Amino acid sequence: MLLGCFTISAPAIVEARIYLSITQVQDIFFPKEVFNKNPILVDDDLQKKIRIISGVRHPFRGDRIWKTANGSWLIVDEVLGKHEMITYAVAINSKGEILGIEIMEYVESYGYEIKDKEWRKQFIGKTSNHPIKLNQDIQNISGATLSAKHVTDGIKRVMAFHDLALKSQ
Amino acid sequence: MTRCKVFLGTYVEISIGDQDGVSKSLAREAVNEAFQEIALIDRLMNIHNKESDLSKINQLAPLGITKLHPQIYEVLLIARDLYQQSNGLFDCTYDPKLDRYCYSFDDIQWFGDEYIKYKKPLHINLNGIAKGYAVDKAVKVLENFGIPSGLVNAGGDLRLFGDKPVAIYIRNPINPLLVNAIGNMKNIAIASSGNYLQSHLFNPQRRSTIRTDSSFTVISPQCVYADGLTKVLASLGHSKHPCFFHYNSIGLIIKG
Repeated sequence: MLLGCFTISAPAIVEARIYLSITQVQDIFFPKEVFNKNPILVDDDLQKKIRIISGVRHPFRGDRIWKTANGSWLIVDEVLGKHEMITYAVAINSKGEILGIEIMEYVESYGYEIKDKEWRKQFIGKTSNHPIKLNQDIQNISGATLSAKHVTDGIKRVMAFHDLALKSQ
Repeated sequence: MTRCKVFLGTYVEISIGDQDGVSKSLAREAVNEAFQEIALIDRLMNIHNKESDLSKINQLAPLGITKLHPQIYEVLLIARDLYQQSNGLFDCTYDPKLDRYCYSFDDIQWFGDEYIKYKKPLHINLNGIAKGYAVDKAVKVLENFGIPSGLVNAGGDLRLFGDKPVAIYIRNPINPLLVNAIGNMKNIAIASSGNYLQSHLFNPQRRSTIRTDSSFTVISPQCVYADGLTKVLASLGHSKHPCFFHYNSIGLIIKG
């Protein structure tokens, strides 16, 4: 038995995990099916409607939508948490039921404002157009269960969008 | 192959790398099955869903003898063992919001296998071990498929199987974006608790929440015990309790 009480200098994590490409997601949900990109123009009125239903504030992008020959949909969206940005895909069958959800990309500490000066230094002069160097080596981290609530809200908005814009197609 | 899905309110990652002698289709089938196992546990034990099996048990068991789903029975046996071995420091019936009611795991009456009745109007909440249990079950599925090594990580409660050593980190309790490296490991489960992002630790014996800036990590052969023992470690503030030895586990406290 061992009890370790220690304080050691800790490296900062800016973790990016890329799980799946869109082709891989299509292959998981709809293997061997023909896909067509089906972009939708999301006007202000539609943006507002889905924002009210889902509570997700940042604009929905209508250019990551695919349709299969038999009327199923694949929609890619992202959610912004306080600490993270998550890109995910929702597969919906022709009856409007969710077939499944896959996380495609997970970027931790995205946009995170932190008081630690040393930590913050590395971000100086960097914006979202100028991506920070991501640490892909630090994985397998124990602790701090990150709530997936943002993804749950995101799925709600994808379904709201499906209801309002895709169902009738 | 690494995939990530949302279950048990968090991100669940299954990683099995590129395996020797395992075809891509078999690897995919194995990962799909493992996720399905976790999805089932989520469906059964989610207390936020009134229709889940656990919610129904909580509604029916105060009224009469209630049959348990085999998987809930299995988790409840683990919870009972943890309760007994820890002298009540792990208690899945304790709810800090219902502090004024004095009941414990002992107020569950057992009728042979898979049947219980609550002697008092208590509620079972398996959140303290469900993630660890789900991780173990997923690992079992992958092993049954013949996957030689890999990792299952449910929101930071993780288990490595196979002979490939992997670097493991623990989040810093004060700033969760900082991590401490604790070394390369294999064939091990590790879970951590802390008040990281919100306060949720409590001591069922003293019937109080735990105010702490530290984080509590347990390394065990199985994730369900690692998960459960983090709560015991947080209550005690040390691991000099025989239950750690009993479960072949190591407690680790990182001071905040």
